[in-house]
Amino acid sequence: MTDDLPPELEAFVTGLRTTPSANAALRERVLASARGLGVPRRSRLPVPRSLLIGLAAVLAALVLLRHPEGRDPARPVPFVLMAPKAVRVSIVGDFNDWDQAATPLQRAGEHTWWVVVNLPPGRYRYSFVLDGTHWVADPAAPRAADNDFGAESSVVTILGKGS
Amino acid sequence: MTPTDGEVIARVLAGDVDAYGIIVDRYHGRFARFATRMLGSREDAEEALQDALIRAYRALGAYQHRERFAAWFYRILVNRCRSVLAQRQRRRAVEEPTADQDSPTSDAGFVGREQATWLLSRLPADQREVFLLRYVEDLSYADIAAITGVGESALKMRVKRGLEQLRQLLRQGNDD
Repeated sequence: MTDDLPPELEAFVTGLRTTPSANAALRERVLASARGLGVPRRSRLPVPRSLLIGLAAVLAALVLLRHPEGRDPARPVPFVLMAPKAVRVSIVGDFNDWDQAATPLQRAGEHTWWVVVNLPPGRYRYSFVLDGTHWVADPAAPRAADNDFGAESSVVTILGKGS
Repeated sequence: MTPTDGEVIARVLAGDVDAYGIIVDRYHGRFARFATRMLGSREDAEEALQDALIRAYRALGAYQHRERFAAWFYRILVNRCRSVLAQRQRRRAVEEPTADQDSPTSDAGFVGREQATWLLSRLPADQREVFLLRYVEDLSYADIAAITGVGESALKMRVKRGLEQLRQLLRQGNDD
């Protein structure tokens, strides 16, 4: 038992520690989904910033050429943060399952970090994570109104066709 | 010999999709426990856990082996639970406000599952979250900070407030 727990709450916490029994139906549903999704793709190795910029530009051009008037495609959305003291910065949000390893920002100059994320139309909550522990909202974006957990987060809304 | 999480994930990424079942079996108990206690509803918890497991599967290629799988997965699950609670809040905002629930009564005092669920539901969601991660899931403040994105001092303050409120509720329950 965690040693800073007041003794009068020990019985209560012991009761909370019982684990639900195995759930074969849930297991099967998860595996059925996994089979449907196929083998997950490995994340790519870090690439130089100049190559990233080029790729982002090419992707944006391809998207525009392919969907001049068609369905709502994903759009390259740049995220920029000034964080001079950070050693590493990543972005976490609804679009990457809040995974700190998924979307690292690249350093651009002494103070600035940036990344381009392709996002389909929708509303996304996100935060920047500095050095793996310190979460900060995007100072250039509105704060998430539905975030009542204290971790700073922002909202970006990508409008669809006709929005 | 039991394969490590890293070995299982490597098998999945190499094409053995069903090996993900080993991860599900290994962690179902504690993850289901957290989601159930956090959401106070077995159905909502099951849905949130299933969704989180599928999201984690899709993101498995980005999982870094230097990090423990459980800590990585908790981040996904905690956010799924937050989303469920936010949806509930939005729903409540457009529905008729409900009267405050009375405490479930029991001759045996605060020992039953219903009372435990009721007690937890009295805590604000942010306090409930850190209380569960700290005392039920036995995680360190450093781990909880990495999972929730909240600084350690703020977490400790929440725990202090949560414990105070729980003690008060227990006292009230035992006095009734």
